[in-house]
Amino acid sequence: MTDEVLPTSDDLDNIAEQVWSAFLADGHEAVVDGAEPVDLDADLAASVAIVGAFDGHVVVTSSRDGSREVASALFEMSADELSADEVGDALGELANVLGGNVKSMLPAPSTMSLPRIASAAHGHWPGTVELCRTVVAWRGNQFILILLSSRQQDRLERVVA
Amino acid sequence: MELTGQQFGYVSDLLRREAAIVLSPGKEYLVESRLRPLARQTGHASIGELLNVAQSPNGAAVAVRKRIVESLTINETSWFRDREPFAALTDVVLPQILGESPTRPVRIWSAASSSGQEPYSIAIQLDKALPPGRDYQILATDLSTEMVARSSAGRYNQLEINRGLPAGDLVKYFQRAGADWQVSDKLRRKITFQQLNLSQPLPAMQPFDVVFLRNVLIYFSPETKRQILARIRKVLRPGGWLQLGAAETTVGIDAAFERVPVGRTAIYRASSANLLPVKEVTAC
Amino acid sequence: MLGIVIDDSKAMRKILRKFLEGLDFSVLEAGNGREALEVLDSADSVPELALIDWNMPEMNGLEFVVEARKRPEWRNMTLVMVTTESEHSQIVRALASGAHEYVIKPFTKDGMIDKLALLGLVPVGVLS
Repeated sequence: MTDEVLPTSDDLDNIAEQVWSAFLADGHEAVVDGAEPVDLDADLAASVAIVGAFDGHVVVTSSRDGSREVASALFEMSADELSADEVGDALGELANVLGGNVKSMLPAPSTMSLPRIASAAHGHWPGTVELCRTVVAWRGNQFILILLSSRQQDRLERVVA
Repeated sequence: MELTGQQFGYVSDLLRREAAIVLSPGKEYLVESRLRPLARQTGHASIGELLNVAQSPNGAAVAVRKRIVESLTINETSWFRDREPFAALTDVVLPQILGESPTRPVRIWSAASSSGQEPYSIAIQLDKALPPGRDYQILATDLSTEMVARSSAGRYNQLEINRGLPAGDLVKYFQRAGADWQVSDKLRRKITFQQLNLSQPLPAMQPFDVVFLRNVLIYFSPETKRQILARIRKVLRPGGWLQLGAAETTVGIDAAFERVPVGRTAIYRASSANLLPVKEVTAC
Repeated sequence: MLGIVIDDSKAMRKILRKFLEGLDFSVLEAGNGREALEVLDSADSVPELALIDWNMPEMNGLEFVVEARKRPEWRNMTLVMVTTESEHSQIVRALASGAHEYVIKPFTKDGMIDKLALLGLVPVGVLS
């Protein structure tokens, strides 16, 4: 067994806090807390795939409203002016920035895919295990940030534990 | 959003009591710019609400007052802040020091080092500008033990590292530490971090070539300013240099410093002669 | 002044466009490196500043930087990577390939202003 260090949910908290305070600081506080009870009807899931020394995905799920809020803040437009495309694009960029930061804490070298957006019902990642997650509460919406691994060694460990 | 006279008065009193710092009228903008984000962060709808909580008799008020004082006494945290003082180091100050004394270590004191960007920026500048084999020592002090611990760790997150640090310096002087960046040992070894209260007499110190005292005098009364400058003059070598903040000056406060214009700003030089206090002149 | 924003994300292009327009830049856009070369070739003048993402389809940001540095007529265009790639070795690679500066995402407006000030591209009087 190698003694590689993988990100924990504390690391996800750290990353989420920085991303929200940089890109989504609009006076509404973002509360990042993995222990918060999840009350999310996820409509959308944006993800990036990581391939190489680490294989897995970084996923952000949110409700349609939540994604609209993100798009509204990023584009500096009111929610009703936004097209479905723009909403998806904004959530995708969020996954891109969160994913990029998570990737920098994963075993290297690896590459990251462009973000993929799907409805939450169709978003699944077969053959993966969840390594850690956190929840961001912002503007009355919840966003779940998840790190998935498709590596043999992580899946086996989960089974044994 | 404007601060009322009563609100400003309350904040001034608080700052004087808790931090021996005087806020003169005219500094309302400063208070507003620091308290507005604090009010947001702590979930208050306005500065007024924040101050109401601070003045209330309940237990939460103590923590709020502490945070108000902190928000008014921390310095802005960017690397090579204002840029010119660091350029002045390379262009004016170091050539003079190196010319005068070819061997002894260059000693610099960062006297309000906050979260550490200033002393590490000075170290980067020295590492680049000093000839090989020429040593340097930096003393970094701050009133707050928390800040001293923070800056001693030399660990910064992505947002902090993006503030004014050239990418070339980032890759040369930092390494990744988890999601953060850590200052290399090469620089950290040269800096001593200590807690120190400028408004108190100084501990014994070896003389310095340069003192950075940036954006901290602003918070003290004129008398305390005089005392601090006098103490600093005593630990500066004759002809040693004092760096103040962009809008600050010793003019009118301490005649023992000579103002030397540099680019769009100025640095201050302790006069080479040791000035004797002027005695009363009696007719002979 | 003229700037070009090169990023495959519409959201990021919009953020950077608004940011630059706030500093009195006119802004060109491209969704990847190849498109950027086309846009620049047909532009009336050479931008002073290019903000370049790394991961893009067709031609990524690093490849664009390498191409751009081969063009003597684009000598005065400052090349700034704006990307989530934050590994030490990647930053070294980008700088070695000819990028002048590097901004890691997420960035704040203040952080960007600081970087542009380092490059002499921020008009006097802009506070951060």
